[in-house]
Amino acid sequence: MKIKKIPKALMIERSTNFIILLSIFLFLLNYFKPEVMLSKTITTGGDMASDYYPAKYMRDYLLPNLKIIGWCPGWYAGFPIFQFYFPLTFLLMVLMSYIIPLQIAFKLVTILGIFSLPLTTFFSMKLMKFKFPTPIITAILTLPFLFIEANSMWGGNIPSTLAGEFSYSISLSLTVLFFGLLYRGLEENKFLISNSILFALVSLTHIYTMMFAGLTSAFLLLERKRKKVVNNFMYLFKTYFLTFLLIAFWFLPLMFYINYTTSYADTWRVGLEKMFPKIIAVFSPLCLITLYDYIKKGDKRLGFLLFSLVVSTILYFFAETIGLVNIRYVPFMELFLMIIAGYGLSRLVEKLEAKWLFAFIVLFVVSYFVKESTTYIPTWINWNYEGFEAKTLWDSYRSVNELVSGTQNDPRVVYEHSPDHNAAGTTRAFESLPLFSGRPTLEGLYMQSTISSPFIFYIQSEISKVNSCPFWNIWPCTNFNIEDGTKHLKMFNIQYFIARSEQVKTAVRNHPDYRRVEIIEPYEVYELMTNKNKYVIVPDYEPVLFETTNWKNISYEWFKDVDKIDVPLVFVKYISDEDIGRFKSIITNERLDDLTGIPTNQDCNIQEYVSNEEVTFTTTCLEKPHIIRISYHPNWQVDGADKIYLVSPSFMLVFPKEQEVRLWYGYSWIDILSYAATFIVIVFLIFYTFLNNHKVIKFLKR
Amino acid sequence: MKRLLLPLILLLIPYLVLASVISLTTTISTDLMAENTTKVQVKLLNSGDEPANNVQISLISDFQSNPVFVGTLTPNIPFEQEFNISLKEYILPGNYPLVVLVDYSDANAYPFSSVSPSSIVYKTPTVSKLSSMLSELSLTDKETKKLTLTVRNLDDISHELDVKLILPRELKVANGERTISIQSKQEKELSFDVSSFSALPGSSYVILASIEYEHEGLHYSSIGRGMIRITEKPDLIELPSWLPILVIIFLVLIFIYYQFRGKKK
Repeated sequence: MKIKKIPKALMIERSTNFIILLSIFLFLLNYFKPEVMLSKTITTGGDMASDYYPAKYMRDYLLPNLKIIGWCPGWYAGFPIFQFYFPLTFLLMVLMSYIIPLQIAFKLVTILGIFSLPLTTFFSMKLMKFKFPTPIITAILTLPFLFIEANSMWGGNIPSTLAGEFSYSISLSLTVLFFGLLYRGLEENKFLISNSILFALVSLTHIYTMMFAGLTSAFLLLERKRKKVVNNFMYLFKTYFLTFLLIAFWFLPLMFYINYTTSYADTWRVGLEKMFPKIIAVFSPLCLITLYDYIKKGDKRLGFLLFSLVVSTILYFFAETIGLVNIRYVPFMELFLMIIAGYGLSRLVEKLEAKWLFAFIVLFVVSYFVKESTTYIPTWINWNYEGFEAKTLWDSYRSVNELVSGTQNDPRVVYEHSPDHNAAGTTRAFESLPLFSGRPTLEGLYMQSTISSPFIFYIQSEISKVNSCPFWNIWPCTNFNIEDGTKHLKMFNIQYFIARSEQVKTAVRNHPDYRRVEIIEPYEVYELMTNKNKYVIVPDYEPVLFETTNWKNISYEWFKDVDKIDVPLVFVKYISDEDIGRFKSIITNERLDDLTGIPTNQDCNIQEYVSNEEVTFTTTCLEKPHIIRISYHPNWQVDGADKIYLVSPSFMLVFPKEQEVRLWYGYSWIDILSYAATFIVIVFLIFYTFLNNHKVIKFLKR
Repeated sequence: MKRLLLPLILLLIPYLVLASVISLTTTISTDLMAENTTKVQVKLLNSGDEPANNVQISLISDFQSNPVFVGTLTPNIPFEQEFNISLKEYILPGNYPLVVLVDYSDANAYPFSSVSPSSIVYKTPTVSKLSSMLSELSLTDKETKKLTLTVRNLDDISHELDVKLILPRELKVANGERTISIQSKQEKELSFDVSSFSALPGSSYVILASIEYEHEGLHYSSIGRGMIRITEKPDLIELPSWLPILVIIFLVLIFIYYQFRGKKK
C-alpha cells in the first residue's frame, strides 16, 4: 500500500490552522468558564432569562404533541409561540435535553453562535478557495467583532448574545458559511441541496440574516457571459425554492398572520463611532487593500464580500420602510468589514516567508488587543450563566412563586414592573412566573408575537412605579393609577398582584379590592378579591358590533378610557346579516362617543376548564355573548357556537348554541398547506439523496 | 523589507477602545413654596454616546409628586420636565431635602439609577448649621462594607437630627435611617453597612445623606454627597501585563529573521 506523503508546507499550514482555531476556542473558553457553563442552573440576565420558559414549553408540551408551533397561555393572555419567532435554536436545545439537562443544553446553544463564528468564517473562506493564511486570519479577526462592547442588542457580538440575541448569533454564523458554500456551489454546480438546507437553517434562526443573505447573493448574477447568468439564476432559483418549501411550515403562516402581531419598526440614530467602534475601526484601513485588489484583479470572491457591505448599508437605510429596525443590519457591516480586512491583512504577507508565523503574530496581537479592550463582558457572562439560583433574591423569588403556584387553569398573576427585580437575576425575572409557578402572567418576551401586548404594557404602566413601555412611540403608556389599573386587571382575570416598591405596596394595601396574602421581603403579594377568577364570562353590558378596518387603534382608545370598558366592542371588517341579528347595537362610523351600554341582565352558571390549547365550558345562557379572556387568533376554532369574534381589547367572543362549548387552537388551511409543502420536499430530498441513481431521479436531473 | 514593514506596523498600532457610555447630568431648579404647591424644574442631559432607555424621573421628598416617564433620552439632547409638588400634610416652614431619582436602562435593558440632591424652601428659608461628609468606599459586588458619615454641629446649641442615607437602587443599606442627638460643636461618626444589590462592577454611584432638624418652629436640612465604587473581585493568578507584549515582540523578531534567512538561501 502506497501512502501519499503530504508536502511539508501543507503540513505546516494545516497545523497552524488547527492550533490557531484551537487557541481561539480556548480564548473564548477563558470567558465562558466551563464550571459556570456546565452548572445545572437556569440562565438569567436581560431577556435571556425569559427564553428558558419557551424552551421548556417546547420540551414539555409542544414536542410531545408533535408540534413546534402552538399556543402558549403563559404570557400576553396567550400567544402563538414560535409562530413569529425562530424555533430552530429552541428545537436544538430540546433535542440536546434528551441527553443532557435542559439547563445546560440551553446554555450551550446560547453560545453556539459565538463559538462557531470563527470556524464558519474559516471554512467559508476555504470554500471560496482563498489561499493560506487568509482563512485563518479572517477567523482570528472575528474576535474583535465578537467582543464589541459599543452595542448590546444589535446582534452577533457577545453582549447582544447575552441580552438574548443568541438566535441571531447562530444565524449570522450560518450565513457566513452559506456565503462560502453558495459561492463554491455556483462555481462547480454542486451543493444545491446542501445550500438549500443551509439557507433554511439561516432562515429558521433569523429573518434579518435571511434577507441579508438572499439579497447579497444577487451579486452572483453579475456575470459577463449570458449563459453563466442564466445558469447562476437557475441555481439560485432552485436553491431558494427548495428553501422556501423547507421553511414553508413556519414561514407561510408567519406571513399570512402578520396582521396578528404588534409591529415594532424603529429607526435608531447612531453615530459612526458607535457603528464602527475602535475595536473594529482600527482594522478598517485594511479593507482598502481588498478593494484595490478587487478593482485591479476583478476577483469575484472579493466583489461578493464587498457587495455584502453595500447590501447591509442599503437595508440599514430602508429598514423602517419595510417595517424593521435599522440597527439590526449594522452587525453585517461590522462582521464583513472584519472579514474583508482579514483578506487585506493576509494579502500583505502574500510574498513573504513564514506566513504561518505571521498568522500566530496576528493571533497574539488580536487576542491581546481584544482582552485589553474588554471591560464588562466577563461580568455579564458570569451574571447570566451562574443563573437565578445564585442571586441574592433567589430564596424570596422562589417563595413568591411557590405561594402563587398553580396551573394554566387558574387565574393569572401580575407583578409590578421594577428595576429592582434585577437583584433576582433580571428586571424581567417575573416573566418566568409560568416557569417557576405554573401560573400564567401578562408580560413576557416576544412582545411582537401578539395583538395583546400594547394593552398589557399599558396595564404595566398603571400598576408600576416605573414602567418600561416598549411601544412608547406607537402605543403610549400612562403613569401609576391603581384605580384604573385594577379595572384592567379584572378584565385580564388577575387573581394575585406582586408589589415591589413602597409606593405601590402602600396603594394596593389601602385599596378596598385587595387583601394582603403574604409579605416575602422585598415583595408583598396581594389578592384581587373582586376579580371573578373566570376566563369565560358574560359581560355586564351587551357587546357593540363595530365595523372597522382600524380595530387596533379603536380598541386602544377604548381600553384607555375606563368609563367605556364595561361595554365590549366586537370588531368586524364587514357586517353580515347574521351579525345584525345577534347584536343589539352597531357602530359603523368608527366613533366611540356613541357607545351606550345595554345591560345583559343575565345570571348565568358557567363552568370552565382551560388547558394549554383548549378551553371548554358549559353555560346556562345559550345565544348570549360569552367573552373568553384569551388573546384572539384566527387559528382558534369552536364547537358549540357558530364562530369566534374578535372582542375588545383583544379577546375572543362566542354566542353558544349548545350548553357545552369547546374552543381549541387548531390548524387553518394555510397551516395544512404549509406543512404539506415542507413534508413533501423533505420526502423528496430524502429520496433524492438516497436514491441518487434511481431512474426517476435521473429523469428529474435531466 | 518594505513588504515586511506595512503588516507589522498595522499590527502593532497601540490604541485603546472606548466603550459606549450613558452619562446623565441632572439639573434641578426649585421655587420657593409660598403656598401648598410649587413647581420643580428638572433638566436631564445624556452627555454619553449611548441612548438611555426607559428613563423615568421620580422625586424623593416630604412632598406629593408623580413620577414622569421620559422614554428614550438621546445623547446630547436635553430633556426638561416641570413637576408640580404639593404638601402631603402639615409641615413646619423651612428648608427640606429634595432628591431626584432617575431610573433608566441601557441598550441591554440592564437597569440603572442615579440620585441627585436639591432642596425646597417652604415659606421661610433656613440655613442648616450642620455639615456632613461621607467617606469614599470601594466594594466588590458580593461584600458588605462600612460607610462612615461624619456629622459636625457648627451651631451653639445641641440638636436632635434625622439622618437618612439615600442610595441608588443598585446599592442597599441596613438601617439607613437614624435619629441622633448632637451637642454644640460636636463631631459624630455614624457607620452604615452598605452592600451592592445589583450594581455593575466597574461603575461608580453617587450616594447622598440628608440631615434634618427642627428648631424654634423652623425646619433645617442639608445633604452630604459621597461616592461608592464597585470593583471587580481580583483574579487569584494574574499574569504580568508585559508578558504578552514580550511574546509578540519575540514572534515578530523571529518573523523578521525568517525573511532574511529566506534571502540568504
